[in-house]
Amino acid sequence: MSKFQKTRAGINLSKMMKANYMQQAEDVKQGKFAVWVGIIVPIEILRGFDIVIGVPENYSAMSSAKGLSREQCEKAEAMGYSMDLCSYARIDIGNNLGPEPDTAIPPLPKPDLLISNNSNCTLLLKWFDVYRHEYNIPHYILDIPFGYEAQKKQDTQYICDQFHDMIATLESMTGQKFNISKVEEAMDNSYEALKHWKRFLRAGESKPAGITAFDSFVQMAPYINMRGTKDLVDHFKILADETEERQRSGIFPMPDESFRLLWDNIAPWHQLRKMSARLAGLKANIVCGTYTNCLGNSEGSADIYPYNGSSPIEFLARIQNFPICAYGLDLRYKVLKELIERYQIDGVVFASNRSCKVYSIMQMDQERKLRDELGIPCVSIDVDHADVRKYNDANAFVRIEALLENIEASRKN
Amino acid sequence: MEDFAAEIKGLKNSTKKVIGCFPLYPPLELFHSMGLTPVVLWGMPDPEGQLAESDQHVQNYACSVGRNITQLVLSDLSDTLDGLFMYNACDTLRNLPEILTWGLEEKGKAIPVFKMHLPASNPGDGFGRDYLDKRISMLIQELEMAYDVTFSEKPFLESTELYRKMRLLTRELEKKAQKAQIPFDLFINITQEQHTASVEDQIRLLEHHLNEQYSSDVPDSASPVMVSGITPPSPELLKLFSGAGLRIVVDDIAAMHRSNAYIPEASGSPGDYYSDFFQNHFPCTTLLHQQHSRFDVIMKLIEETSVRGFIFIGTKFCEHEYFEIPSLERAIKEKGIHFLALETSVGDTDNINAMRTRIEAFSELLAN
Repeated sequence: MSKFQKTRAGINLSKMMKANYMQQAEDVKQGKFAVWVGIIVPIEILRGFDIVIGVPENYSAMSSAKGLSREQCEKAEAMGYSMDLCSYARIDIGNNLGPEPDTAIPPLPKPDLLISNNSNCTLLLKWFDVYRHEYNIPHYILDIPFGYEAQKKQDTQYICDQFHDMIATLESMTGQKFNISKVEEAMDNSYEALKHWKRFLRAGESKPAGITAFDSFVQMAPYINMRGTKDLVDHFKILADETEERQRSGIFPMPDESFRLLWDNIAPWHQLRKMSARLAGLKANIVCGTYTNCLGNSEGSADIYPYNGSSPIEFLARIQNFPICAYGLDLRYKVLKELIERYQIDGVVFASNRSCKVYSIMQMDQERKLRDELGIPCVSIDVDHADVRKYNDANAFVRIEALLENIEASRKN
Repeated sequence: MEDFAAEIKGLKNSTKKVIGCFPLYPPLELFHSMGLTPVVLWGMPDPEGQLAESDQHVQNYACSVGRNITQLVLSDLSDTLDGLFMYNACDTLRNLPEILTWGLEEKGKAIPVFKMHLPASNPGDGFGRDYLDKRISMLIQELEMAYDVTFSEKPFLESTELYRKMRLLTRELEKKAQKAQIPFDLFINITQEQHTASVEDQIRLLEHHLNEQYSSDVPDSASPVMVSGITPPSPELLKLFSGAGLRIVVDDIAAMHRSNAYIPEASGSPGDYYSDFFQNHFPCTTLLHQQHSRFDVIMKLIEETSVRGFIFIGTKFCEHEYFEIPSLERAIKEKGIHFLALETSVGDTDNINAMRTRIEAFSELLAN
């Protein structure tokens, strides 16, 4: 997979994402109600309506991975959006509100309603609010208390109350009646898909690892916008089955793997191929990423939160803090420690991401504690998840190479 | 920052515990009613950019507000504060309580750190109100346990009366500043001093200044402007404004007008009081439940005060402010009001000369 040969899962991913996008565009043309949501908004609940769901963050990541971020960011900056703002937001705003939309990846169909939440980051609310002004449409905010500790019952109840209010809002705006059995079906699909996803990630535990974290960065895309669908279940099953088959056949992305690394932050989408190839040259494999491991977990856990098939609304409320950005330093340390042990990690790369303060502003303390308490070598590199102009390959690799030397030295000792 | 820290250390001379709060709109009345002295850790100037302690914990692409809080708590105030309180506002600040806890622990210090989630849904009604009530009750319990104090309604009512008095006096002084009956830079200094003073001292300070006769050296012919931002303009920036012939007649500064524009009635019920306080608060970019009403309120202020120009003083890396600026700029310009955006950090004096030309050009534009 690291040599970028298209696997069955890779081919299916492109096909499925494209088909989903085309279908959405067609549905909007036919007059279907369209909603834009933040990535943590529980879209399984929205499956209780016959509506189109667009996810701007996914769009921005894809745009960056295809090398289109510079132009879109510059369009937003020309409109007055500061270069210090999140690059996902600048790409999306540049493409939607800029002079000419991108033709390589057309913008998402225009929404009738915006739904954001502050679980992952609060700036998402501000970003979506730009569209509230510009398109003059409502913006529904889901308020998720930050996880300094395990979610309290009163927090779960508060989130449930908001979900019910959001459902009532959607009923009123769409004129449709909410269908809970569709949500139950969607939740079953999401949970089934997650189990395959975790099976896929577990391939990283073997030595050599059956995957690189770059594979997981690419493959997580449909989890963001296709949760709750049968297509997602089928896709993650193909992905996990194929990965396990390859392992059984002795096919590994980096058979001569010498260094097993953990990546902490969002992927630098504009560097996936380049960084992956360069790391392969150093025999360094990023076998696990905190970003892709957290799907379906509860705060502070490295494992999927169990779903017993009842009360999907309550379950979805309970896992609203699943992204690692939605919880604090103590819980993040717990997860990192667990992943380091489980994946037999030699060193940790903290990607200090200028566009994601909520992920990054904790890393300095985290790094110090991991080094002091576990004695594990760590390094911090400067990245921006989507703005290629804020990344310097030479600087990043000087530091990564120093980390590898450090690991080597600690082995000799 | 040394002065700021010295003021807080001065409060330790009393027998009351001192609790450092951030960001700007903490439940001060509640702390006061329970025998604590709250101080607001906001807008501290940094000593010529020396943030050595903060740089060990917070990246340089965080805003100066967050970096300065970290520096202050982990260096100058590490022996002083008896507790910290924060509520959710932005992504940087929500990470700070644990960073500060870990940082203090590294120094062998442990103080209670209270964290409250302020609903981004309407705190005045329905489930938002219910949740706010629960969080305030939880905070009361935590304070009682941490400091062996007891909450009761009567002292709370008295505290809300005191804070109401303080806010009314602040607003009175603000009106004088808007009419140039007190220099605007002095008014800003006073509001900054209020952060580190007990409410009783704040009232004395405000009454003193209200009784003084001041004159402003800004001529009436100067162009009236509105300033906006999460931190007030620095003294250097204010000099540039007055030197260029600009007169601030109204502000949308978080620590100033946004803090005092709405003054809740006194109450013995914390739930009723804070529900009213947050629901009707002047819209601030840091209060997430209010973002839909900010533009309307700003436009109303512009119309009421007949300003000719609007100056946004951006604190670098403050995403909550910067996201709204392009739309706000367009809306303001559509009203025929000129708009200027400046970018600075707390304590930043390096870029003043670069701003001079822009401010002078802006003033000429207004004069014409």
